[in-house]
Amino acid sequence: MLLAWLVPSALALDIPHEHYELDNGLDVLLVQDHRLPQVVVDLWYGVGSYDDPPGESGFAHLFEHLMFMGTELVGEGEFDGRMEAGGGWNNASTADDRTNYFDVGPAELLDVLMFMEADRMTGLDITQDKLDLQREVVRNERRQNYEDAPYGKVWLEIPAMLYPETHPYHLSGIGSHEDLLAASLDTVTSFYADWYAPNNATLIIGGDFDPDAVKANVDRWFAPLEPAELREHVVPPEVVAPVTVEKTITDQVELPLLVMAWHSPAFFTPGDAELDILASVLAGGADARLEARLVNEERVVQELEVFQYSNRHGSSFYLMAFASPDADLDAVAAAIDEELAALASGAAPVTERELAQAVNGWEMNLVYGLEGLLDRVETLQNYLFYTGTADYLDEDLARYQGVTAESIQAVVAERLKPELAARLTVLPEATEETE
Amino acid sequence: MLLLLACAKPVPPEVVAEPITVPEIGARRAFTPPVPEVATLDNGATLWLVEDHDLPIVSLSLVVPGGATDDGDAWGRAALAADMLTEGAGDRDALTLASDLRLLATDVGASSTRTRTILHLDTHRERLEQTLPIFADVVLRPRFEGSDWDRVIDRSVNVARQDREDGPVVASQYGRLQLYGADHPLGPPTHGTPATLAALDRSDTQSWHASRLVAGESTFVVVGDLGLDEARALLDEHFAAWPAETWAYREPVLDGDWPGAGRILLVDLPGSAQTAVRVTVPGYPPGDTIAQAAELAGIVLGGSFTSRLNNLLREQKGYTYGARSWFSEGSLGTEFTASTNVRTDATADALADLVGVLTGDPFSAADRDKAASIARTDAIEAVETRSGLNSALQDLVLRGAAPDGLVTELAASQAVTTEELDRARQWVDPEGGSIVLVGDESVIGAPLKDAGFAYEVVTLPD
Repeated sequence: MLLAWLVPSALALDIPHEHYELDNGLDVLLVQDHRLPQVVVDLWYGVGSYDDPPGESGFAHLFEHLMFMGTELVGEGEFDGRMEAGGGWNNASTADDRTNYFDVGPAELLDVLMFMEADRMTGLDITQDKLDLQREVVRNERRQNYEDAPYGKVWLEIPAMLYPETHPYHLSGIGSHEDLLAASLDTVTSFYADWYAPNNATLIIGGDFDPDAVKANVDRWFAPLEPAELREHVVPPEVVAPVTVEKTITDQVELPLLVMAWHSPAFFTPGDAELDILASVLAGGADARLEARLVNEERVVQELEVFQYSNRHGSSFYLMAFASPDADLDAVAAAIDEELAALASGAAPVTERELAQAVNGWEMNLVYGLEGLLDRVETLQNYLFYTGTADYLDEDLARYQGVTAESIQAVVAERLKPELAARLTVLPEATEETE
Repeated sequence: MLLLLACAKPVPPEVVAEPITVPEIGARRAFTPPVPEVATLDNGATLWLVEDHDLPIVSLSLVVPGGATDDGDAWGRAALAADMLTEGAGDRDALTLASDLRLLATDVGASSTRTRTILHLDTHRERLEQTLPIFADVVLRPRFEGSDWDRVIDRSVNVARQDREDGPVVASQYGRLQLYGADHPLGPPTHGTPATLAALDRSDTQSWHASRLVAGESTFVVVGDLGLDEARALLDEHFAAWPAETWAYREPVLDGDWPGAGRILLVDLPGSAQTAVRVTVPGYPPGDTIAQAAELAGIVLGGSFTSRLNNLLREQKGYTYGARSWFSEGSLGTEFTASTNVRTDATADALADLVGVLTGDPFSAADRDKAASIARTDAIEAVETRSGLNSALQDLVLRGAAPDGLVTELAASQAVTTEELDRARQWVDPEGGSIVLVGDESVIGAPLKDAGFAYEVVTLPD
């Protein structure tokens, strides 16, 4: 009965924008929004941890830190200093496939933000002292988020279990201490020259601005930048099976954790939306299949997280079961395998209600994503980078609405076979590690 | 590089090449935060509402008196009571409630502070009529069933145990206990300890909840695609059964005796790669006009990337991934907090630098201007989303501030003088509060003593 009162009027999702390209290859998008006196300047570069030089894990992320260390025109400390003096702030992130830099501030700061982004695209001034300092900051980041954080080591282990050493996704983007210590100024110079150029970037300006004035300043500050001869991204063969199928580690944790991970379809390719929906069917709430069974009924799991981690060159589907202290992890794994087998065989297909729950949830995610200016700008960047068009919102909604029980069954049967899972167990310390 | 590239292009003779310098900041554009409309419901509860029809979203919250200061020895009771509200209500058991809310793509949740319990509902406007009855059940008719209670207690105890392995969480959750003591309203950890959680009684918790959740002193905050008349009618309809009475809620009385003041307390966490450092200093009286100056002082010291703490500890010394500080104000009191996680081998040096920053140079006019600009940006961003604005308004309710508080407080922050900023500094001196360190004593102990930091090792309560 509930199903009947659920469907709101057809969602009209849109992020109005203007899109053009400069002669030097820089993609430019303008998103006007005059509701609040604020602006966002957001740059995505087509380089990420995937492009870490061989034997130099963590380099793309370390380089991201160096982008804040000053240019010939904007000296060390001035990038943040000038921005914050005007009420602005910024951040950046390095993902597997891309690196983003975003600045947020009051509308009156827009010229400063645009100028400084153009300036550091090709004018970075890096010294050994700056490299040494940021190397230590990144090592502290690793200690804080991966070594001391409970279960943080999972994100160092899983990529190496899933991908062979020759694959760019083999190592975590944070890098090893050894590789970070070995990073050299020469590599900084070549990495900058190879990847940081207008023809490997997309600029989006959002917020409360005069588009004519902004276009003039884009021409003034970004158009003169020379394009670069970009390095080719490595294209490895597709991987469908893990390299290491089972491993046990220990950590300073209270609860044992079972992580199961599978290779899965790449971002925005067939099967990707199905696995987003499947994650919700399995663990989107207390009533979801696995959560109801393992957390509520059998009570062998305290918390369950399931998600599709989507990437350009192949994704990963994760299932993380934080088990009860005395739980039998083999039995937990067997229960997971059993539920997936029932989906794969069609013995227990996804129901109409489960599908509606998941699709409604994704629809609302897209609606909430229209609220914040930075969220809208990042959504456009994401679409443009991964699909080749920023006008993808309707299509994105449609791919979730188009998921069926049969299409989920097909992807589970093909990709989530027990023999294709990497299984990592994290036990409280004082237990033995095995591989 | 930009200069060279720009000048490398041919320049027409009539154009004079302009010097390439960072542009000036433009003229500031007007911004006034929204002021909610206010109404009183039939059951006596207050309604604050801000209409916003740009998207079909409604963000609704309910702030009710009663929180962790009522816990007595039953630390964590208010938090557990809040957790239980969404574990089955009215005709729906826990799984049915979760299932129906997911079908409606609606988020309903509850949490508690030291003095209040807060519930929220976020949904699509066209589903509001279906979700409000469920929300009313959660508020008025939670089931507190035994099997759900056992599961929630079990999970909470395990989370509390896990938290004891996490240095920053230990510093955050137990720092106040060390400073204020177990008998002070601000002392006990609001989410309890493994032992106090395990000892909680279901019927006692249910009774506490039933005695506290009454309409008289409660406030609904609504932001989104809904008018005042519509909102009032819907809330009157679904909360008609709520008794319009009070339980004579009174804020707890605080004393000024802080057993941890002036002390450095160390929680030993062997094997830590970093030491969590947390300075907590009791602040000015709630409602004091120094509040906005204190906010700006917190920003200058550790509220932004270029703040004094982050700049020294991260960007100059490389001791940490980040350091921050802030003033917080609740209905019970105000506090200054400085927090960072530093390399284990650099703990003593980092602590010396941190204390040096907090007790160091006076503030400048440039500091004031920067902090005021950042505070203004924060105020703009706070109202950008419906749930963000709802949170900002909830904060006013929690502090007993007026509905136009976002406007008056922004104006006050922009008018703070450098002298007022320096006056706020009296509440950041670690001598007036406590320093809690969570790290590996076998590594950090000797250097701390060598540097003159006389610390006491403390153990966490069971």
